Amino acid sequence: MTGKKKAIIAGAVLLLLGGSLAIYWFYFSEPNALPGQDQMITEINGLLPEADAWEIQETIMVDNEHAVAPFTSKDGIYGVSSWVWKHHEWKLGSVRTNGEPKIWKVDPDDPATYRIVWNIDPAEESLDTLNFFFVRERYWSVSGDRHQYDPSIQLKKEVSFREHPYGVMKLPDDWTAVVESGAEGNPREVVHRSYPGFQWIPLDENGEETFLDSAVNGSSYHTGLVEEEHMMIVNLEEVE
Amino acid sequence: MLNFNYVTDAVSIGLYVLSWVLIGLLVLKIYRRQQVKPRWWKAAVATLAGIVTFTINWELSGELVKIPILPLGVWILYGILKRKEDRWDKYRSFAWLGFASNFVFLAATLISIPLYSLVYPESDAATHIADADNASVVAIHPSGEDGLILDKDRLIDQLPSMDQEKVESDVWYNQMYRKSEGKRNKNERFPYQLIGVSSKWGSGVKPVIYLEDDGKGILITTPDEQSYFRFNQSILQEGMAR
Repeated sequence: MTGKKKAIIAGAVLLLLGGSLAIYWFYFSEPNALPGQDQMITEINGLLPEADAWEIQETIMVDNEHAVAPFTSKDGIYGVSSWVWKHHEWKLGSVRTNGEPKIWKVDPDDPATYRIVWNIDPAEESLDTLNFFFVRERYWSVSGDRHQYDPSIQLKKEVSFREHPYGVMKLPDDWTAVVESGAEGNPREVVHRSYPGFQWIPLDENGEETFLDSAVNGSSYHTGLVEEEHMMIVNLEEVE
Repeated sequence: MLNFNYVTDAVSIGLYVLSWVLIGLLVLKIYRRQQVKPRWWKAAVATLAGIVTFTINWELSGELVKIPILPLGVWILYGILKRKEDRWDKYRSFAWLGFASNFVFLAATLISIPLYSLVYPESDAATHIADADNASVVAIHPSGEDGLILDKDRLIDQLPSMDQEKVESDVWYNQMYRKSEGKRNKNERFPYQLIGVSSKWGSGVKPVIYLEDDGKGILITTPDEQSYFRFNQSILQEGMAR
């Protein structure tokens, strides 16, 4: 082999090696630590100036590559920011100034990764308990002699607001099993369900419904990195 | 050709593999018999090209049945090869065998439908509850009691002797409606779900199994069908506090 050929081969091997290393680094390397508070605030306000973020209350890891940082502003906004490790960088996935509970479907195909995320002003005096629900309406149909009966599903989880004014909650195991088994994703059922999926009710000390202006109204910004689903507020009557 | 997105059960996959083996044997047979042989890999490519076909698709019992109509692959190959004399003759049998393969796949699909029902009878609970070792029960409705335990032995013992009964969706719905005092969802006939149950190996179906409030009935739901079975004894046990 001539020297020139050798050099070309060596160059190609180096290029290949370097390329794979770069690709590995870009896509697969272990996440760095989350950005610091100041940088988070700068990024939040850059994406959504109305957020007017002033303080990050806590950073909560969902897993290695996903995190939630509830934040506050000087004039009483309680908001939520979601962070995703992608392309070797912590990226701000979504910001919202309304801290009502929403479902973050970290991996939409795997209910075990779903998280209920909220951040509500602790000064909301009337609020005492957050009631979360997974609901599916009862349904029946007959075509010819083929009968179909889908039982009503109502799963409930109570969380004390006094202890958890903000939080990131994994679905209870029961819920995960039921949702996973197809209660939600069954295409046959999408057609008829009027109130599909995840809902919640804010309750006061006496177990009565209350209303929260501050947590429901606001603005938000979403990138494609975060799939967040709205949780509808329902009446006690509908789930009793 | 069968589509793997559609088919995940052992019967269809087995027949699909068998079809390919059969086609491979036929290619070999033609190859050996032919006087003027192309290179072996060129014969294989000609066969694969022949498989390209315009088909009419039709869904039958949840399987996609493809009926071959126009031998597009054969035509294209002919268009390319005819320019040189005698070249087409070398490949013709292989290309047409490729087209004929579509009928092998078609036959496999048609056989798989009754064979599947034979191996995995829809109305046989053993198809859907093959392994209950890791089974447990979840209350999916407030009218179900929390903390009940599944009596696995009773479930497994009674599986062979269960009675299949009619799914009466309209009757059940109306009963529940009347019991609910105007509130739609107050009561539920099936307030529990069995989880952790495995269906028979290779059936490719993950059924959802609901359990009746008295613990004596199960409603097995698959995308195609529902079946309802009754036991003599309840499979629910009062649990210790969890």
